[in-house]
Amino acid sequence: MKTSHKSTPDMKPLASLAVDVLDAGSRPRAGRTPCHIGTNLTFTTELLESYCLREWEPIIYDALIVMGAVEFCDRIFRRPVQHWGREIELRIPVHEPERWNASEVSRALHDALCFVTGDRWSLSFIARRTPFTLPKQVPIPIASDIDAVIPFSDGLDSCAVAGLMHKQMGDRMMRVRLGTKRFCSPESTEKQPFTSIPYKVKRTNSKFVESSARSRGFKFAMVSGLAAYLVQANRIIVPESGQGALGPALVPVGQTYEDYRNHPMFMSRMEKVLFALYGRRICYAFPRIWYTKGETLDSFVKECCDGPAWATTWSCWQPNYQVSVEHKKRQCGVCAACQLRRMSVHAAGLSERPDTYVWENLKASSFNEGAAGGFTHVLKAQYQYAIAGTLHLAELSALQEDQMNNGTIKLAASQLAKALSLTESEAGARLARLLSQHKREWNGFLDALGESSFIVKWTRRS
Amino acid sequence: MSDGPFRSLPLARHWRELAKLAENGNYSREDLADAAFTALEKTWRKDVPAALVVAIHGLFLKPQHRLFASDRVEEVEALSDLAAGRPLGRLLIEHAAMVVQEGLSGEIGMIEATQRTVEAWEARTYRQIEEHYIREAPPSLTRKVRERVWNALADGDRRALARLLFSQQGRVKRPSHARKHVGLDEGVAL
Repeated sequence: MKTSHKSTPDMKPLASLAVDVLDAGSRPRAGRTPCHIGTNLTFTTELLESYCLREWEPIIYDALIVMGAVEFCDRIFRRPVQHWGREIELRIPVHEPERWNASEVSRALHDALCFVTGDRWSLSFIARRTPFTLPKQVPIPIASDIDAVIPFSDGLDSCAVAGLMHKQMGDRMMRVRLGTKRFCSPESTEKQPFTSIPYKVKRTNSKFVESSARSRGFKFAMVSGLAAYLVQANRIIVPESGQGALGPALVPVGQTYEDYRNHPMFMSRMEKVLFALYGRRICYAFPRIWYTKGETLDSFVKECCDGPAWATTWSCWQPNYQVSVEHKKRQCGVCAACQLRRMSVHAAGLSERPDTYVWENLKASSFNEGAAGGFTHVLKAQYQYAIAGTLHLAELSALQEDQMNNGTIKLAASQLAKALSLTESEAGARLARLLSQHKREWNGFLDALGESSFIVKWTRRS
Repeated sequence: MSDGPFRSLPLARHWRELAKLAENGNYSREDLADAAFTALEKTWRKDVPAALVVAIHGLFLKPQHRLFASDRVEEVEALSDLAAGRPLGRLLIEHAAMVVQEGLSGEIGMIEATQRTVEAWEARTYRQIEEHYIREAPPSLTRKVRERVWNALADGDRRALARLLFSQQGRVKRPSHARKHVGLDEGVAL
C-alpha cells in the first residue's frame, strides 16, 4: 500500500499511499489500494435522483465519485504523528476524462486539495468501462430564479445563517443538505432537490483510521458547487461565523496544519475549480464571517420568526457511544465546538437546559465533577478534547495581546483582503473587531463560570 | 467549526527537550533560549525542503526592478508545490509572499520572511507545550514551564536564526542537548 519516495538527506520523505478507484470489472494496478465503486463507494439511487433537476448529466456522478474517492484516501491513511503531510496518488474512472485531466481543472483541483488537507495529492482520471445511468430520470421542477445555495447541516450557524439569509432572499436561496440525514419529512411525497449527500464511503473489513477529516471541507465545497451549477445559482453562502471560519487557521497548534475548511482562502481556490470544471463563475459568500457566533445567534433570535429553532441544533461532533447518558445522546459540552456554542448562547443572553450536555456543569471545580451523574465512562480523550477546546478559545481571545502573534494577524488580514476583495486596512480592522468581540464574549463566559471552574483554571487567567 | 480543533499531536523530541529543561530551575534563560534555537533549527531542517529554500533564495536575490509586486507575489506563490505536505514550508511561502508584497527584496526581505515564519511557528509550538502540560502536569509545574518557555522564546535571536536557516552553507553543528554545567564556577546563578 505504501511506497517510498525520494527526499533530501535532511528530511524524511512523506508517507505515501496510492489508490485506484475501480468500476465494475476493473482491477487495481500493482501496489495500489483498491477502492471499489459499489463496495467502498456506495450510492443511493433515490438520493441521487434528488440531484436530477432537469436531465441527468455524467458530470454529476463524476463529481460525486471524485469527492468520495478523496474522502476514502483521506480517511484510510493515518497521518504520521510528527509530520502532518502525506503523499496521496489517486486514479479515478470518470465519464469525461479529458475534462478532468484538462490542465486548468487539474491545476485548480490539486491546488485546492493540497491547500485544504496539507497533503501532496496527485490525481489522474481514466475513462470508465461502462457509463453510469440513473434508472429513473424524473426531473425535479425548481424555480428558475435561484440566486444562491446554502450548504446546510444540523449546526447552530447553519440554522441561524440560513434563517437570516432566507429573510433577505426568500425562495431565491436553496438549501443543500450535508451529511446523510434528510431535511424533508419522510412522509412528504413531493420530491425535493439535494435532500442528502447521495453516497457513503466505507472501508472493507475495518474502520477508518484517520479522523482529522480535512477533506470534508473539499466535499462540502464541491457538493454545494455542484448544486449551484445544477440550479444555475451564482453564489454559495457559507454559513459560518467568524470564529468557526477563521479561528482554526489563526491559532494552529504544534505540527498540525492550519484548518482552512471554511476559510475564504480555500473557497477562492474552489471557485477556480468550479469555473474550470463547469465553465461558470460561482462565488462563495461569507455573510457572517466578521461576526461572532454569539452575534449571529442574537441576530437570528431577534430578527427571524423561527428564532427558537436554534435550541434544536447540534454542535458536537462526538459519536453516540461516547456521549450518551442513560441511553440518550447528548452533546458533550466540552469539545471546542460545544464550548463555542455555550459561550455564544451566553453572549446572546440565552440559556439551555443543563441536560443538553454530558458535561452539565462547567462551574465544577474538576473535570469529572462537571459530568452528569448518570455518565460513568469518562474517557481520557474527552479530557484532552476539553483542554484543547478551552485553549483554542482562550488563544483566539488573547491573539491580539501577544506580540508574538503580530505577524500572524498581519498575514491573516492580508490574505483575507485578497480572498474577499477588501483593502488590507479594511480586512485588518474587521478582523481586529471580530477578535475583540470574541475576547469580550469569552471573558464574559469565564466570569459567569467563576474562578473555581475547571475551565477557568486551565486558562492563563487563573 | 463543525468539528475540531482536536487535541494536539505529540510533541516532537526537540521541543519535548526544551520543555524538560524548562521544568528544571537549574537551567538558565540562556540555556533555554539555546534549546529553543536548536529546536527551531531542527524543525526547519525537517520540514522545509532544501529545494524550496534555494528557490526562495533565488527569487529574493534576483534583480526585481522590472517587475510589479503582484508579479513577484505570484512567483513566490507558484512555489507552493515544493511545500505540499510540509506545513512549515507552506508558512514560509505565505510570509515570503507577504514580505514581497510589502516591497522588501534581497537578503533583507529573505531574512524578514524567515523571521516571521519562525515567530509564527514558535507561537504554535508554545501552545502545544502548554496543552500537554495542562493535560499531564500539576498546575504549579504548568505555570513554571509556560513562563520559562515563553521567556526562552522571547530571548531568542530570531534574526540570527533566520540568517542561519537561509545560509547556503547548510547546517551549523549545534549540541542536541543543553550543555551540562560541570565546572566549579558553573553553578546556578545566585
